[in-house]
Amino acid sequence: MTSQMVTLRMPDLQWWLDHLDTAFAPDVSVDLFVGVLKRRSVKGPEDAAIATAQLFLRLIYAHPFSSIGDLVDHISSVGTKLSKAVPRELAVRNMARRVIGIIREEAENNGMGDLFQAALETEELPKVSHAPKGRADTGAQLTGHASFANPSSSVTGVFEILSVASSSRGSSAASTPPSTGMGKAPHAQTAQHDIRPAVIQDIQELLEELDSCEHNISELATQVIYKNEVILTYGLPPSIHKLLLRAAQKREFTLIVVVDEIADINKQASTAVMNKPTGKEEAGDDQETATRKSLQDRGIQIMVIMYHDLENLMPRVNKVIVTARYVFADAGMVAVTGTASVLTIAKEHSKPVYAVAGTHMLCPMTTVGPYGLFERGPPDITLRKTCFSSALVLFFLTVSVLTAFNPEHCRPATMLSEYIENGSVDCFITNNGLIAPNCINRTIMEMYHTAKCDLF
Amino acid sequence: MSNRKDKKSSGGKKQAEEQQRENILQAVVLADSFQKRFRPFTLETPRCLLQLANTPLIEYTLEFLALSGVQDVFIFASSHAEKVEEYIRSSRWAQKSSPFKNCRIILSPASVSVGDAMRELDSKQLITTDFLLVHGDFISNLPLGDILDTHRKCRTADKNAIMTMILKEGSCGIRSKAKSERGVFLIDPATNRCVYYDDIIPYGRSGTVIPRELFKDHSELQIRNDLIDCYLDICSPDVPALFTENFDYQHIRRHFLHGILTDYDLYGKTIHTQIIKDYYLARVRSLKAYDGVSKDMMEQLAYPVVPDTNFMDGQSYDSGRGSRYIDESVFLEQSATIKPSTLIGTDTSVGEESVVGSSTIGRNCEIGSGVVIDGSYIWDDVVIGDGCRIYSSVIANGVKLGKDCIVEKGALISYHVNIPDGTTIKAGSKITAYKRKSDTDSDSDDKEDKEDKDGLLAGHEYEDSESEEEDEVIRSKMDSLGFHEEDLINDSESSISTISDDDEDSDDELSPGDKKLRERSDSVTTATSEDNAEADAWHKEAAISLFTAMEGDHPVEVASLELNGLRMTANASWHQVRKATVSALHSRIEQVVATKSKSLSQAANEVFTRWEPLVKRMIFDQADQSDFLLLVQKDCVERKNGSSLLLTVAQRVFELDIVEEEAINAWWADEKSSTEAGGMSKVRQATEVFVKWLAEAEEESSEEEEEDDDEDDE
Repeated sequence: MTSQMVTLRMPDLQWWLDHLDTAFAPDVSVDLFVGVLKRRSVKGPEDAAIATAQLFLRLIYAHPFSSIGDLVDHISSVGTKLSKAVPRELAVRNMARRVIGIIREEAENNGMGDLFQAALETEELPKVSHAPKGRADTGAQLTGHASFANPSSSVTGVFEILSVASSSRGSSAASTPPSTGMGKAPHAQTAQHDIRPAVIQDIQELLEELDSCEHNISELATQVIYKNEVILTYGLPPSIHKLLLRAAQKREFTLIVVVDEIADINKQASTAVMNKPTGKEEAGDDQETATRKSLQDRGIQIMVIMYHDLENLMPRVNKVIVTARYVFADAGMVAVTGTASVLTIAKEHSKPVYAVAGTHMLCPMTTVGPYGLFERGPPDITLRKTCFSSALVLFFLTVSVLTAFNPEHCRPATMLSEYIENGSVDCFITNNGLIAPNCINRTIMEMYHTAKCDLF
Repeated sequence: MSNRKDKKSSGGKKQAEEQQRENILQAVVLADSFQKRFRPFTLETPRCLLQLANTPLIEYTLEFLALSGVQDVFIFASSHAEKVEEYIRSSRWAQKSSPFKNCRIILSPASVSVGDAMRELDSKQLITTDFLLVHGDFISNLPLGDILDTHRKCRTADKNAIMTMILKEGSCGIRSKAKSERGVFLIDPATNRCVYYDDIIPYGRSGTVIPRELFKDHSELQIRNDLIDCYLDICSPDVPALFTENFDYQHIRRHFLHGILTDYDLYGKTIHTQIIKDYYLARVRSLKAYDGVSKDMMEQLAYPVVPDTNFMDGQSYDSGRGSRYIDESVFLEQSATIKPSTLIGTDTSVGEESVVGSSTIGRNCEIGSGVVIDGSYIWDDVVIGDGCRIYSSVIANGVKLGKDCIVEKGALISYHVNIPDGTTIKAGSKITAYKRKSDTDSDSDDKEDKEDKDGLLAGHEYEDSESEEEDEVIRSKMDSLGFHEEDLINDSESSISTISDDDEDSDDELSPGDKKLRERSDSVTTATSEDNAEADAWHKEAAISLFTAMEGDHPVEVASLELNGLRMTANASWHQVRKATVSALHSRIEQVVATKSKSLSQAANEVFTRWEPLVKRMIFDQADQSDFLLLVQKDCVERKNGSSLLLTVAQRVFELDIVEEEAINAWWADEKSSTEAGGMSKVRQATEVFVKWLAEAEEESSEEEEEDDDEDDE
């Protein structure tokens, strides 16, 4: 009887990490990961970032080192492939850039910055012709890497990179045409020192940074939340929840949680408010959730309101905190559907708005047509909220309205995220500290070390 | 170096994993649908390789399995098996980076139904644990994890829970729902057990008879026919075994499910259901469903299974506004209009002033200027001349349409057909360039002659000349593309539950809407009553099973037992049994003549001597004997060498005492036998000699007898 019992394992993040641990083989794993991304088995900025970084760690470990050029080639071709799989999961692309940044840093540390630059430039030329849309990862100008696992070091890191970058930029512009770079590579091969151990170490630091992202964000709690304030959040995602828990240790405040028709938001908010373990946490830190006191236990008053009450309560609110999905260099962002309307009302009442974002969500690009960036879901997620009969009535109403006003007969696809233009957020809470919107551009430029941003 | 080490270590771990894997769910994909609804396309390509949104259907099925984390897949291919095999071998699923650890293809060209496939599966003993049974045209975004958990609970609680059916809730208005294949499920909501199932035959009897006892055993029962049944089942190994046990089960629902539930007392097996509300499940069972599912894909109902996920290598669809999916390197003229819900494959060009709306266009197509394409599905490498107009049609790979052609609603143009300039293709016509290989029946010969005469069209109109189950014809008619407007009429009106003890004629309870539909269905097909269709199907089945018995030289007892079993299940009359036997015997004689190069009389002698006891067992009196002869004659009409065959058979049966003289005379005198209609009189011309001889011999013998009598008297 027991032999007939069968199980299945969802190919989620944990499955992927197990795969990397047990059955990693370079090419196979890359293709498999492309499939996993396309199937959206691994999604969301955090998961995608961790999965990608882990893959790169293994890839660099498995790749026999011949020259820096070779390594850069390899990594950026994989990066292109991965980011093409799901263009809207920008974290994948960001991670590829970060890894190339790490290689650059280590190359420069070992006095091989020129070689790196040459490798990048030769590699970039064919890529441009291949991808005329500029969709592919033009991992070109990005250079240095700053790890935020340890904030104190990052400051010096930035200065270092700044100085080195300026010099290298000058030199490359002056003297290295692409063809000579190709010729140089075999010549310099003998002298090249294997930088992989150092790179691997840096990627591990990057992984730590990803891991401690929420913790680092929550460290900023006291800087954001003051005594007796009224805080309004849209849903209660884990990052905000941790931030509030941390703040609750020191201060008393009142929390208003806005929920919406969207099932995800509802579920998230209710589990957080009731202090139930979420599905993701169940596997790993059971103990932590068990010992963790809920917000209410810490003396925080929580109100859960529907979206339509927002207008009434907004005047009493001191601060609005939302999460971003991705933040662009112009301080525009992609966030969960419904955020924009909350921010609009906040703006009407001139309330300060804080957006929580990890550094892996900061993208070195700007956008004009953000349609392709939105996370989507099956329509059912949002449409099946109401009971059957009213849903039917609603359905027919929508259909009739659509047919009347929409001559093209198309049903709107479900967008799980939306674009928020710059100017609605007053401050970003990142694991690298609080960043004002007008400084986001500079921070991103420094982090990825690019001279200009991509246009998506 | 480190690379090599890595591989080694990973290999070692794989072995360890293999041991673990024993308990991971396996999936069986039935690549064949065992239906003919996609003819003429399926004459050349298996259904699972037909493309929907420029992706072969089986890709969606495998993608669904990969999404749930299935790692061991068996693909069961029967018709066009080599094509399926070739496709899978070269696809990404067979590569190392495939999400499946194991993807095996089982070729079984002889299978003609799900039942056969399951029996084959059982005989090969490939599967020892519970498995997922899914068809090769299934599309879904359902994660199986929770469903499997529930199934496991059922199994641990009750060893006899052999199957879990996964059904989707959906009432009318869902496009992808097949109108024709509907069943009534009786479900006990307390345990989710399905206690009764019956098929609803479209336009036929619209009720179902529910045994009263069920209501005694279950305090609460749900009678549901709003469920979309995609034939997605988690089966235990008992299921194939039960198919083997009941060799007459063909259809997994109509026969297997119905049979197992009706004979619950006999088998004691229970079947559970799980009803899904939130996810997308659909099977592309018919052209109508094809149309519906394509539209659903455009609207991303099955997210993440949508065109712009670009599952296939070499696809890079970009989702613009209004669900227009346009691949890279598509050339659109400035003045071309692309309306919403359109998908255009790579390297396709659309000419000036052309309008494309809610259609799918494949790769490498050339669309001229001033073309109007609306609601159509155009596959790869199609050339469409200037000024064509195409409405709600399917155009397969490599078709060339001349200038100013008009393709009306519901037309199907199969592979590599050339249509000359200015042709109008009528609504609902099917055109193919495919020629039947087996030209045994004169019917198709005629057709090719016709084609030669036409000459203009490089392709002929396709009609299904094979005697198909009439039921199936109606079903496919309903689900054809052209069948748009009227089909909603009966959705709400079909009455289901007729609770009674004995088989009441449910025709009385037809609602007016159904009656109307029934009349229409009568006009559609030539053979009218549904009984005929059933009898036909039974006849075919019996004849085939008997023929195989003869081929395999089974003992007479076994064959007779089998025939009897078949007779009992369908409650067939002895007339039908004889009919089937005659047709089987004749086929056998023809086969013997062909294979062993014997003369007709020798072959007939051999066959009839061998099977004499079987024939005798189904003939009881003289009326039966003449009926037998009549059937022989009827069957001979359809055979190539009919008249001589009839003569030899008549002689043989007389010699073997299967029939008596009186019977022969009665048959000869019978009106049915001597009518001109259908060539009956023609076929019996040769036999006239025999009958005359018989009559003379009889006279002689009677004279003799008389003489004897006289002598005695004296």
